[in-house]
Amino acid sequence: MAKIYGHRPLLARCLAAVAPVCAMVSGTALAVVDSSGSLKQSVSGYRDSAGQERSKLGLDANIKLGSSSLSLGLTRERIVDQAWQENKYLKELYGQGERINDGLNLLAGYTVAKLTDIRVAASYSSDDVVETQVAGAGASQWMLHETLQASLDLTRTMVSRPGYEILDYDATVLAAPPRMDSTAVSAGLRHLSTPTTMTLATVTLSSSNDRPLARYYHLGVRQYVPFLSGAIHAAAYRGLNRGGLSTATLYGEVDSWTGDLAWVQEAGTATQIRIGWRVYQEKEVGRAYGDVTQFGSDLWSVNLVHEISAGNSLLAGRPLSLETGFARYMSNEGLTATTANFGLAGKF
Amino acid sequence: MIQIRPVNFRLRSFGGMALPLITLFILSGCRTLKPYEKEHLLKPAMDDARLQSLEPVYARSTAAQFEKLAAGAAAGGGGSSCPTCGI
Repeated sequence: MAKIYGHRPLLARCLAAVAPVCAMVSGTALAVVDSSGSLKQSVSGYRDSAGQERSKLGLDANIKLGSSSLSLGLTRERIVDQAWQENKYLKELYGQGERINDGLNLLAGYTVAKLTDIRVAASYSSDDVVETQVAGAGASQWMLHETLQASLDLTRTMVSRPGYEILDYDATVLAAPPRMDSTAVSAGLRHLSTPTTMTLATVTLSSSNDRPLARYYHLGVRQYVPFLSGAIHAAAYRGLNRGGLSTATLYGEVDSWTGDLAWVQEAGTATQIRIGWRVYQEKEVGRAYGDVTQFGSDLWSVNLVHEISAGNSLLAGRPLSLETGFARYMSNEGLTATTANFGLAGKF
Repeated sequence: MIQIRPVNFRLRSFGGMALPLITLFILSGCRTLKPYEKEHLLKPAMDDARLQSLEPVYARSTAAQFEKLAAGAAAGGGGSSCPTCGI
């Protein structure tokens, strides 16, 4: 392990620490009657009109042991920027147009009396220049005869990167701190409003050492339409990141609106298709002279999941799941991007 | 003379929706669903685990490099709409 990741000692240490734990849990899972798990491999690709290409390989393992669950995810992403020499940030930090980002995600959960969920999560990613560590914990509780679920989550994010400076319009030097710390608290409600309607609401407050307090509000509705065997999903998000700005931030005060609309169609119990549209609008007020910049984007996506019956002898009696998707992103700055993904998951 | 204060219907911030949202939750919260009424809420099109596989996650995370507040709010909780069904 250390040999493979010799240039990434921290990631190697994380993997070395996690591997025996996972092996132990897997071994225990096989020995316990009430256990199940899944293994998923996925590939994704991204290309945009600015000359950036991304390709990602992911491996996810999930183990459920009675009331406990453990998920481990490993990713490797290759990013190639054709126009990196015109990008001052990439030129200064990476000095080349290609980089590899490795990631590790861990999520452990425990359910108490079927109604209370407790979860802890940790993730680490690095491309040798920028390093991100995230730790989080949360809990949720069903109440009112399992009609309302309340949840509370706490997340801590630490990003380490080389110092980077730009000159603002008023000739003030803006310098991003080499270490960015942020803490976010999120409170959510999920309400089963009618036999076919689910309502979701979340409020998140995020405090960071280089930005004013950020507030996020989310309101969503899922409506099942029985005669069409499908559901419409609608959600609105509001983000507010306003307040006094110091010279430790590279952009101005920001607020945003996001709308998300999707139709999920069931084709039998084995196949589901999701067609989605997401629209994003962002207003930025500059630090120096209060100049206003508007940014907008659209994202269209089609995703499909299909489960192959466990009775198929080719699968040795194990159910298999196929996932695939395609998305198109467009911004008001003339940028267009295309992504595609394919995944294969096996249950055991 | 009674002076009626004009109501500002412009939603200057999403916080203006907090009161109707809480009212909606309280009113609809008065009725609780029985397990047999949750048949449709347990369908794949409403189920969190299945929807996670159908989300364009990679497209959103890569597009987020252009959007400063794209991260939004991560919804906690989730799971089955009827956790004790099947006892």
